[in-house]
Amino acid sequence: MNMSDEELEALLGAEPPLADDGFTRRVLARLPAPRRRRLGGILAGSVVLGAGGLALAAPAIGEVVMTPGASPWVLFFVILALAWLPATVALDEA
Amino acid sequence: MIPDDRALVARVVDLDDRLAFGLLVQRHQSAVRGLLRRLCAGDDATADDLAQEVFLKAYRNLRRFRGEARFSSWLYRIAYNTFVSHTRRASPAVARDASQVATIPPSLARHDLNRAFEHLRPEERAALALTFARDLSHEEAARILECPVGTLKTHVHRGKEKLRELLAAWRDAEVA
Repeated sequence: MNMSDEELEALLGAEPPLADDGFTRRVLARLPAPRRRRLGGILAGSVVLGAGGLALAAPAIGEVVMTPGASPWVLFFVILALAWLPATVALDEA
Repeated sequence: MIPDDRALVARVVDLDDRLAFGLLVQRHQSAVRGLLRRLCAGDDATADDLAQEVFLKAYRNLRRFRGEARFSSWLYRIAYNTFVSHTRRASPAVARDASQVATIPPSLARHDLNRAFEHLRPEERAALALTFARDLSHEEAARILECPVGTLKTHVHRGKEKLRELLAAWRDAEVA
C-alpha cells in the first residue's frame, strides 16, 4: 500500500535537533593555528631561509659580483632569487 | 544580545575570533549534520566526519561569504559539494539498484527511511532533505544545488516516488 503525500512529507520533515556532543570542540581543535602565531612562524622561517640561502650561495654570489665587467643588475637578480621563496610562502598565507 | 551570523562571520574574518566561529558551528551543527546524515543515508559516522570537513572548509573560505544568501544556505552548499566529492572518491555509483529492495529486512521506522535514501541519487537525496527536513523553498534549494528550479522539482518528485515505492514494498513485506 502506497503512503499518502502527507505521510511521506511528515516522515521526511520530522527530524529532532542533534545535540552538540563535543562536535564544536572537535571542529575548533582542527582549525589551523591562529593567524598571529602563523605570521610569527612565517617571519622566523623567512629569516632562516633567507640567511641559510645567503650563506650557501655567498661564495658563488661573490664570484659573480666580483667578476670584472659584471652588470650591477646581477646583484638585483641574486637578491630577487633569494627573496622569492619566503615571499611566495608569505603571500600564500596572507 | 546574541550576535547574528553576519556579525559573527565579520568577527572571524577581521579578528580571527575563534569564539565567534565556535558560536557559528554550535548554531549550525545540527542542521549541517542532519543534512549530511540524510545524504549519507544513515551512515552517521561518515556524515559527522564530512560535517567537520564542511566547517573547516567554511572557516578557510569565510572571506568568500558575501552575505547575499543566508549563512546556513552557504553551509548547505558546501555540505552538498563535500558529500558529492566524497561519493566520487568512495564509489562511482552511490544509488543502489532498486531491485535490491527484497533483500532488505522489513520493519518500517525512521531507519527504513535512511535505507530507502540509499536508493536515491545524490541530487534526489539533497533535494528532499533541503525542501522537507530543512524547510527551504524550491528556489533556495535550487540555488544551493546550483540547478534550475524545474530540475529541482523533478528531483523532489522522482525522489518521493522512489521512496513511496520502497517504503510500500517494505511495509507489504512486513504485513505478509
